[in-house]
Amino acid sequence: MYIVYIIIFSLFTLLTVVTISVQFSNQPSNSNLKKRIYSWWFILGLFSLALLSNAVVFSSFLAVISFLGFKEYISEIPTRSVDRYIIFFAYLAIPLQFYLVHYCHIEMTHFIPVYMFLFIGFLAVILGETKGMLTSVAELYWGLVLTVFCISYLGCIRQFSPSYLYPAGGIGLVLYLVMLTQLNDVFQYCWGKLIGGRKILPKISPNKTVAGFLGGVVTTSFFSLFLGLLIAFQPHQAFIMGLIISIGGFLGDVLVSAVKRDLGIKDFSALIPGHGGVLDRIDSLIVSTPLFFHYLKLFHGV
Amino acid sequence: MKKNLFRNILFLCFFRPLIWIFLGLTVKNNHRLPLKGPAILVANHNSHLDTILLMTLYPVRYLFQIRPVAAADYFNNRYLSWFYNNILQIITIKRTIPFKTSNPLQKISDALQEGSIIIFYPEGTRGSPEQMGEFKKGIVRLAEQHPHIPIVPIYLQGLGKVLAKGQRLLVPFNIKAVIGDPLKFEGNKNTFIILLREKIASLAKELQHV
Repeated sequence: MYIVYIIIFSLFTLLTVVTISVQFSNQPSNSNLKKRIYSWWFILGLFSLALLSNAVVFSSFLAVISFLGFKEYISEIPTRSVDRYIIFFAYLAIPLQFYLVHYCHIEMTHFIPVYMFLFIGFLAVILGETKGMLTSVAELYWGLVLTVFCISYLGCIRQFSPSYLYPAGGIGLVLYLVMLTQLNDVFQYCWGKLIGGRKILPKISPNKTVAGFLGGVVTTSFFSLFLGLLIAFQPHQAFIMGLIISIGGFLGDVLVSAVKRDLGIKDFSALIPGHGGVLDRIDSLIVSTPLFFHYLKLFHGV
Repeated sequence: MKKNLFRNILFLCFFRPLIWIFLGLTVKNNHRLPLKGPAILVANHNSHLDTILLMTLYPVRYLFQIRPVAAADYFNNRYLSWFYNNILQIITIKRTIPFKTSNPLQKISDALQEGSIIIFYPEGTRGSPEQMGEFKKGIVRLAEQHPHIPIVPIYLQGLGKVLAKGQRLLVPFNIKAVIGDPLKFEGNKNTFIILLREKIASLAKELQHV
């Protein structure tokens, strides 16, 4: 468990170093980079606090994140006025989902994919407005899965109890996942800027390159190897986890980018200065979290 | 004194978190907000929450000057009336009195003389969600009587989705507000109202580039 504190402390130290070096460089005080860094302080602080608290606090924290993400999503998609009743019940599903994650580990896997899916359809039928119904139902369900269901797996990961393989337990695993996902974003960005070259998905994300993607995957996997040895994973496990996180992170990012392209927006909201909205920040986690969870569960029987 | 304190605490601890975090507010051009009266804030009207939103744009120490204008039809409940009169400091106008007999806007003029910041909705009523109706002539008369008081146009987006006219269920959506440059009455009654409406409509376009 001490390793968790050491890693969090190192992250704060790293952030301090970056902040000081940015302060000394000649950036105007409201530059995007400075805003980004100050926001990182807030994010890191809040996340560490929530993670190091008990499981209920952490689940509540995730529920708030999902709430903000879902709200951003529904505010940008076109909605009919009758859809507000569906959206109201979708909001109610959020605390229920995290309650299920917290107390009834297994049931949670069916609630949103099956029962909220059916319930949303049922509501739409009762509301009676069939014009545009299929689109609304599909978009709202998709939003619920994207912003709530995938994120709720973080709560499941946190519940893993410490074992010889993961002495830091679920807390360590969540920290490992989130940290590597964010570092992966940074690595892919850096490699993209350093090497440039062919764009990987120009229609969706004009800034991402093949070199960025591959460089990021390799860097993240080796970094994960190094970090994994600290947390007592075996080398091949840590490397595979790195692969999963980096590829999953990329897929989540481009998924949300594609949605933003379709909606014609640059960011889902301006809640986090320098970063955009909550959904823009957690997009890498959307794909990597369930993959990471199932890798742990299937191959390690945690 | 006690009412001011109660109002400030209420807004700080309840209304601000409600509007800014629970609903999620993005404001553009906050610096254009007049911090001292007299001034008139003019906005499109789609929800009961419009007034609360406009008031949360101000730091609580400036709230005491703000006087929203509302129609007298809503003041039936005794407790709500106390709240509207004493905490929100609403000026009521009777919608049914024609201008010829007496001036229903007299109370607003008096408040402006005292240096208040007035919140006024030229549409006269809450429109359909996210649609802006025709502007009535009341704002022009006010502008005519007080030609040197800045009229600040504000466009509010999203509150019609959160709690529209006739709705009881509040559904959180992200909301946006844009504040425009103050207008001054130039002397022409007919063009002023068109200008004002166009200005607010054009503010809506500014939101696309946020």
